[in-house]
Amino acid sequence: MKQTSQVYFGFFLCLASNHIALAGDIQWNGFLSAIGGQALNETTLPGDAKSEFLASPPSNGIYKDYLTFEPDTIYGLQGRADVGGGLSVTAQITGAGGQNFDAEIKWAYLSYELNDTFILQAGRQRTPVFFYSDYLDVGYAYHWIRPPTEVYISSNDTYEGLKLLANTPLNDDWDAIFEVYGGKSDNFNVAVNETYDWLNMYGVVASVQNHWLQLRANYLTMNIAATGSSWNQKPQDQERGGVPLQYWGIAAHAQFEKAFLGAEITLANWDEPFRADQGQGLKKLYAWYITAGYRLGQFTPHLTYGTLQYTSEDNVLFGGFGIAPDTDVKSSSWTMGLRWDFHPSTAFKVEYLTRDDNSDKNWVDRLGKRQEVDLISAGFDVLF
Amino acid sequence: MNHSIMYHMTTLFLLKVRSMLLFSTLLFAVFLPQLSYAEFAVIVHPSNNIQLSPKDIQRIFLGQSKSFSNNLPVIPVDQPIGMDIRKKFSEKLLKKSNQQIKAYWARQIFTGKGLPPKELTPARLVKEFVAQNKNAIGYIDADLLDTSVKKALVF
Repeated sequence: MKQTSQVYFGFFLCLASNHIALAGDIQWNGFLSAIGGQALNETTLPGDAKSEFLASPPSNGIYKDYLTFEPDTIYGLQGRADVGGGLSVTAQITGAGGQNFDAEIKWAYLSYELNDTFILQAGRQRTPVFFYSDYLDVGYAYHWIRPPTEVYISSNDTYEGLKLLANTPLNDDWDAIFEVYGGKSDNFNVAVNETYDWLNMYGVVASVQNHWLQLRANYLTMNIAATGSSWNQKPQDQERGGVPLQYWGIAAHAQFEKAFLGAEITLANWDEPFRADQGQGLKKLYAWYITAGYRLGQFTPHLTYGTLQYTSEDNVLFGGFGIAPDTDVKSSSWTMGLRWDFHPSTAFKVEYLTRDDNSDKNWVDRLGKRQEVDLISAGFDVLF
Repeated sequence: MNHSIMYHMTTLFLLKVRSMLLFSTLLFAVFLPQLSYAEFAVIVHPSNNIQLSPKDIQRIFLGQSKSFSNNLPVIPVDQPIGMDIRKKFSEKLLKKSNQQIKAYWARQIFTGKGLPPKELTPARLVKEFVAQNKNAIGYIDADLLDTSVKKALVF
């Protein structure tokens, strides 16, 4: 993946420098989220470990029982050059605290406007699995510090491939956006020290919106395979082509004059138990959240409830934890937050989250209430 | 004599009424148009005969349509965020607050879906740009309207 990044980077630098020579017209934009937080009311787990809060699965940003600024802190810098004739080049570099702020290319693609309706994009892009996936890193663009982690748990946040976008008015009030995409994703998951490959992935996203309501539906299918340095036995390795996995999701966001209401549901299904953690196999996942807020001048207080449930069983190849088949792992959380827009391009946010773990007894007996933890976090989201 | 005084008083009174009427008419003439006339006008090049609905203008300024209904490519010009007129325009036509506009463009920019319209200031430059460019669309204070541009919609 490192090599791929370098090749992409070289390619885009070439294009960009060519463009500098031509017109010197590169549009630069950036964002920064500087967030600090601390896990509270942790639960003691078997083996004297404590429950933690995983804030950012892609960068493995974790809050523990001390104040830390790394899990949600992220910067991004994007350059876009219009080459002319509807062709443009965009590259976005981000660095997340969970990964020591190492620069990573999240977007690097060529975009071609075929006409007023269609745009074809080729290269590395964000995987649009969820409602906020495309701009997950841009905290300024939403009210929370981070979208609910019950739904936003995927570590594969980028893919390399093609996307066709269609944007068309439906009538005087409604617009529709369709996205069809396909390619390959190979994102390294720091938490389990291995790379999840999403092979033969393709998906569709359909959204409609009017002046107050936005509705979105998506479907994504792929074969997932894990390749890790420490794990040489691979039950779902690339040679076998991976395990078929499908994601479905629906989301809605309603914006009234002062209030807003949003909800998202996601379902995932693995055709056979997929090793998500050393000893457990994932089978089914169901997660949703509902959120509401109210704008009072510069202040937007908001409230969110989120829940996650997945079915797990022992991964026999790795000995397992003694988890019975069809064990339900469940957690749910409440988040109370406040966004303060005290400056035209900077928002201050503060949130308190409390999460319960309602997993099946045989899971809790062996692994403890791993999700039971509270979190306080606050910080700034800036655009520049 | 008494009659004469009465006559004069009546005349004076009538004169007073007349001047008051005149004054109020003047008041109406001066202020009413401004009240109903609005605060800003959406302007296009004088040669542009396209009918524009508020929704058309919204789509253009949010980057959702890139041409007028006759397929002529459109170049919208905005005024900087923080300007009073921009706030009024965004709230009235785009149905978004300054903060929502910022967040909207952050989403568009960082997902590669588009860039915000070019911003020009002061308003005189917006008018000049629109007067000189048949693809342009902008908005200015209604007081600044003249024949160099054509008003598409007035708010």
